[in-house]
Amino acid sequence: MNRNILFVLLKNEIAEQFRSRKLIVVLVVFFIFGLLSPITAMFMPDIISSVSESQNIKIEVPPPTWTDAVMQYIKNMTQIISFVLIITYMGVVAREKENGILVFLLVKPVKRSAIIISKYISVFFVAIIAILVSFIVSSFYTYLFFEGFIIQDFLLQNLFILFSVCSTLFVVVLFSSIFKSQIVAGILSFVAYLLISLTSQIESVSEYLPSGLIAQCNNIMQGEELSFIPIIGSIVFMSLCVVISIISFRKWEA
Amino acid sequence: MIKCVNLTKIYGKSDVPALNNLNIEVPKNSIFGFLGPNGAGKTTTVKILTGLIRQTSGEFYISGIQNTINNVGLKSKIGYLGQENKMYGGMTAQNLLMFVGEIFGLSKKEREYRAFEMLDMSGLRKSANKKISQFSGGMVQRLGIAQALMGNPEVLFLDEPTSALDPIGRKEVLEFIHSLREKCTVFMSTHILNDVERICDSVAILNKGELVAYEKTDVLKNKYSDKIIEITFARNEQNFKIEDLFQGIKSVEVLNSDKNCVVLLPIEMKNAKTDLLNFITSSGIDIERFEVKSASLEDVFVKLIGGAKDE
Repeated sequence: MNRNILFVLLKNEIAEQFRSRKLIVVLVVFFIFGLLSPITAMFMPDIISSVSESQNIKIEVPPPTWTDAVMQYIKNMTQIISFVLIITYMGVVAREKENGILVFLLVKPVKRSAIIISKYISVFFVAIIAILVSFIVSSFYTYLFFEGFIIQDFLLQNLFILFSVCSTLFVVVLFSSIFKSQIVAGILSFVAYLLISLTSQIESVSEYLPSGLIAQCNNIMQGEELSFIPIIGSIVFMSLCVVISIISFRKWEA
Repeated sequence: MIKCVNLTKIYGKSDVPALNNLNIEVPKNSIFGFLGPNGAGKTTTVKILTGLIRQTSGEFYISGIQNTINNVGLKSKIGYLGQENKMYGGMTAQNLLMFVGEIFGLSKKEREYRAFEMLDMSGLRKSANKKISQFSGGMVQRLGIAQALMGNPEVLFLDEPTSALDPIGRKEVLEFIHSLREKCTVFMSTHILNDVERICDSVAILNKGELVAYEKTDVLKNKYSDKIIEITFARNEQNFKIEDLFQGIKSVEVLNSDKNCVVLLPIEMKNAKTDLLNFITSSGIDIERFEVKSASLEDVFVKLIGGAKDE
């Protein structure tokens, strides 16, 4: 068997994301949210005061700082973006099961595990590029609009966000490889996302889960002690997703 | 080349097997037709043989090697074109073949050479840089066969390769399959009898998961019926039910009938001809044609499947 098969599949997977415009959509969304975060933080006081004036109410809004922009960025990256990713990638395996494309690969000398691993690596690759785009855009405008912005801290926060985004994506790929319907995969990914988010309320548990990653972003901003355990927890969580996917996919009959 | 031993498949908790104790052996470099009505178990068989699904029991061998669902090594020996021929629509034909070549571990030079060879063979050289989504049905099927041949397989599995095509597309694809004789073993499942009759060396007929017949195409036709009688009626003679018309004649059996035509299987030819001509003359039925001819595969198929249905 071809030893470079994983590389061949990965290349095709990324090219397919270009051809289907999925990659473009994700990059544009990350670009927009990267841009919106500092802009929203910058102009929100003006928007609030103009609205309150029209209602004859006086609301005192403190002048915005870079922390507002970063907080807005973290919120966007871990909430709205997750929904976009679920919708975009819920069919990453399930749709190919539905439309028969996977059969094309399954009758070739390709290990089933290689197909699944190539899917995971491709979404990981997309997450890195997308976070890089939003990081660059957001850093540029935050630096431009506000004083005292610490780019090193923001870079570290983005490392935690990367693992958060990857955890969401890995859950989507997991359900997409277990189920044949992309709608079912999408709904279950959303439910799983909500359940994982809910664990952030239990500190002793979230410390070991992807939900603990956001708390660390806040710790960085507030200069508190930083723990990398949620990253290790996320890696274990993502590895589990990959293993379950492979086991399930090896049993799947086309 | 292909050997199935008591191959059986039962889906889920069903009591009825989709495939029941299939035993066949397909010789090397021949074109094998796997016939049967819809739901006979043809696709199930092809899916088992290509490792897409697991058999419930039994064994099968390709090139003498026992196959299983995750046997990657053996998949380098087979090519497959499914009933729903899905490929990456955004790719060009050349890119798709290059991708398949890469999967089979061919070097860049080998891939390019083989891709152009396949494009020439399938008559798609001029459309090499066209997106697959812009191809006609016939072109997609020919490309499907070309990609299945890219790895130089010993066995090519084709599941209903012509069923979704118009007559021109069908002719193109059949000619292409016919050109593969002596290059590899072709296992073609279909319910279109003419296709099998035109290109297949041997044929198996499957019905409700059971093997009804398995012979060389000519032997099968001769074995089950030497001659048949086909009568075509004048168009204005349609105020009777053709099937009922010949029920009283003991020397023939109604094999098949449609609006204007009936195919009869004589029990004894001499008596049958006399009885039929006497009956037509005495009843005054207007006919356009009365022909004694060799049975087609369709006639054999109808006889075998019809017989199985009656049981």
